[in-house]
Amino acid sequence: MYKQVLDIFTKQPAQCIKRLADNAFIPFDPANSDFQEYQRWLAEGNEPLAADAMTPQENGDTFTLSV
Amino acid sequence: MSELKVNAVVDAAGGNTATINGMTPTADSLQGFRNRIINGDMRIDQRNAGASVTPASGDYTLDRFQAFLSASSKYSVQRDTTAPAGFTNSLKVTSLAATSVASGDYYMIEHKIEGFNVADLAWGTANAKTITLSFQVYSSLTGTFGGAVLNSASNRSYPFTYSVASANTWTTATVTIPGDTSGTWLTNNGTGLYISFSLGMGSTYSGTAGSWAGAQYWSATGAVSVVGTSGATFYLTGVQLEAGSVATPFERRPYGTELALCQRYYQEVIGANGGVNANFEAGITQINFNTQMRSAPTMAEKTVLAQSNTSGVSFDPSLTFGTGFYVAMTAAYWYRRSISTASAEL
Repeated sequence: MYKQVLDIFTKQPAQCIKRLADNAFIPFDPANSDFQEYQRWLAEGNEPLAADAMTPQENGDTFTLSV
Repeated sequence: MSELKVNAVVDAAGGNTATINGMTPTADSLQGFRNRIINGDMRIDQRNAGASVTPASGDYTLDRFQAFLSASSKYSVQRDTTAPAGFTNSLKVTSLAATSVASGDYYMIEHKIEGFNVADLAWGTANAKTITLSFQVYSSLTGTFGGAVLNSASNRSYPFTYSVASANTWTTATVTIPGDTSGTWLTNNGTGLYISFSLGMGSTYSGTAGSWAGAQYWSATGAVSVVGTSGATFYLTGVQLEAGSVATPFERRPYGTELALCQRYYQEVIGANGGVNANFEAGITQINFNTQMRSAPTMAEKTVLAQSNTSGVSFDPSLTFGTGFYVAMTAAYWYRRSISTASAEL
C-alpha cells in the first residue's frame, strides 16, 4: 500500500510516494525500480491513500515556546 | 639468452587462446575493469554485514546479488568466510526445506548488470561480442547445475550448465556465450543483462542449454535443485563476466573501489538536524550521497541513533546526488540523528 506525500514547501503533492510497508519514499523516477513497481500496482487498478493533512508544525504554523 | 622475433603468436588452431606464463593476453583480457560483475568476490554486504537472512523474493542480499523465490522461506543467504584460495568470502545459500519445484516455480540468485557497463558488447546487433562467465562454486550436492543470461525484457535468454563433480569442493566453472544478435539489450542506466544462478527451476522457466531462445529461461532443463534437499548448501564467489572467449584470472579491485561501485546502487547515509524553533518551521536539511546513484533513489530511515522531541522524517528523493531530509518535531527543543538507506537498485 502507498500513500501520497505533500511537498513540505508548497503543500502540494510531492514528486514521490510513500510505501507504507517500510515507510520508504519513492521518487517519481522512471528508472527507479520501486517506482516501476508502483506503476505496475497502479495499472492493476489500485489507488494510493490520500496524504495526511500537515500537522501544525509541518504546516508552518507558529510554534509556541514554553520556556 | 635468445631472442624471438615473430609477427604474431596464436594458438594451435590460429585462435587467441595461446597462453604465456599462464596468462592469455587478448585485446579484451588486457583491459582494466574487464569484470562487469560488481562484488563478484562477495566481500561487500552493506545491508546485513554477514548476518544470515531469509530473503523475500526480490530482496538484495550481499551487494548486487538478489534473491528470487516463488515461495517464501525456502532458503537463507549469508556472506560466508568459506572461500577458495585467494578469496575471503562467498555467498552462501542454505536450503531450509525439501521443496518440490513445480513447473512455474523459480528459486535463484540473480545479478543485474547496468546497461552502461555492457554497452560495448553490442548485443542485439550483428557485431555482438562473445562473453565469458567464470565463477567458483562449492556445494553439498553434485551434478549438473544451471543458470542463464537474459535481457531486461526477459524475452531473450541463454541457459547454461556447469558441473560440480565433487561435493564440498571448490570447483571452477567457465561458460562462454556467443553474443546475441537479436532482441533488445539496454545500453543505458536500465538493466543491461541478467545473470541467474539457479537453485531450483520449474520447467516453464527452463530451456535447452547452450543456445539462445526467444523465451524467459532462467536455467537449463534438468539442472540440480538445491532447494530440493533440506540443508543443502551452495556457495558462490569469484564471479566474473568479461568480453571474449577466455576466462582470465579474477580481477582484483581495491575494496574502496568496489564499495563505491556498489554504492551507485545502494548506500547508507547519515542525516542529522536539530535546533530551537520559536517560530516553527520544519527541520530541513540535506544529505549528500557518497556516490552519485544510478537513479533517484528510494529513501528510508533505517536506524535512529539519537533523537529528542521528533516524530519522524521524510525525504525529497528526486536527485541522484543527494536528498532533502526533513524532521518532524514535537517540541521547541529537538534533534534527530539517524542512518537512512538509499536504494537505486536495478
